[in-house]
Amino acid sequence: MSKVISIDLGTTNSCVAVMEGGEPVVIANAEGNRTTPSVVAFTKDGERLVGMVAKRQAVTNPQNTIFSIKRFMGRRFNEVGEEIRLVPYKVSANPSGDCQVEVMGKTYRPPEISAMILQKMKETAETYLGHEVKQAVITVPAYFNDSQRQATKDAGRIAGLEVLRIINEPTAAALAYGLDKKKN
Amino acid sequence: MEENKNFVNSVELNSAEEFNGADATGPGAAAVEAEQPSDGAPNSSDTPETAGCGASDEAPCASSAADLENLVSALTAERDLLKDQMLRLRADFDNFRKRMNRELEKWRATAAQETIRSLLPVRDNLERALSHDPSDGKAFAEGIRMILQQFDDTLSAQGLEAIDAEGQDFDPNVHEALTYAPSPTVPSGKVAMVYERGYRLGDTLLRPAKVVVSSGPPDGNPAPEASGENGAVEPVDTGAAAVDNQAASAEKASENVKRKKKD
Repeated sequence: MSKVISIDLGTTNSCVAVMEGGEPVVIANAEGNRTTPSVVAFTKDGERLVGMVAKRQAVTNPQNTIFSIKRFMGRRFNEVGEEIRLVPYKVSANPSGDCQVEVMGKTYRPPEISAMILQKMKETAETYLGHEVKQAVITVPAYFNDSQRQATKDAGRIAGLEVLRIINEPTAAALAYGLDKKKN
Repeated sequence: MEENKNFVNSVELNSAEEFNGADATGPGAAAVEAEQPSDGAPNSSDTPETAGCGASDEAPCASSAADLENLVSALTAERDLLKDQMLRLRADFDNFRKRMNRELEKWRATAAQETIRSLLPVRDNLERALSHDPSDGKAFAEGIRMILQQFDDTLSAQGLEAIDAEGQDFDPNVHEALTYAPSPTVPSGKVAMVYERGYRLGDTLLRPAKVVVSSGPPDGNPAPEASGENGAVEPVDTGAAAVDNQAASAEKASENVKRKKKD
């Protein structure tokens, strides 16, 4: 039976954990860090970098280094005027009016970028567990609307994960604290 | 948590005798049936009847209620046994995890001991150096240089490796770009300057080298080495180079890079 992983897909950092013996255990990535920057970069050699490596080259490649993609998840282009000014990469509207990022002449929907981060988290978990992972729960901010939650689910699916549940971040925090197990 | 602790205690208390029992009933369902005679009289007598009832299909099962009862008690016994085994396993696992954590903690402490012991001579030598009169600056500096050499040797004996950076192709796997700045001598995409040396310990990157990455020669002042590469771009730049502030030139530099990428 393959395990279900839990992913905190954050704006700046992401984290993956798995239940072991009834307790959540955070998994360190290949570089030995418990969190992975939510950054995806496309280099001029056509390479795709995710995580710390992408972050380290950000200043040399600002137009093609995507960070804070969570701000654009499941949002319409006309809703994100404020956010666009905060990022150096190009955000545009796709034909249906949703956000998309333009990198090196290609366009990506925010769930596709998030999927690259999720895939990295999935690999981290697979290396640790030693077997393939197919199912996950992913946290989102409590204020996320339906479209943003759906976009997060889509990201999971693109990454090859069946998203069993979308959990509100405060709920996840409460569960980690053990609120569900306290009797009084 | 409290429940768990109690359980662990109880396991420890009667683990010896229970273990024998568990061993005897180990193989599972078959063992459960074998164990049943001791539980109660009806169970043992009814087991063969169940088989008989199944065999004679046309005859209505007279003792079906009794059979079901037996089945229930057999399953209950099996469930109790499995539940017991499961709880014991969980307690075992809990203990194992605690022991592992303790062990890991101990390991960490010893690992540090070893490393620190190997560094002590360096500290001793620094102390000795300070006890000397530093008025002869040259000799003093020489001494410090020797201690640094010793320090480096000690670290490399521990498996520390410095990361090549200066003049290398920028590699985000081992370099961290602090800034992206034009350089008259270093070609674009290469490391122009190292702020902080990076280190590798075995296979893991201990610290990336903090570097300045060259964005190519500054505008309007092409470096001789890179002229061949940038010759085509230069006229466009001089045409546009009316403003001479840094931001504008930086922007242009990145435009250069973009243009090159497209080519």
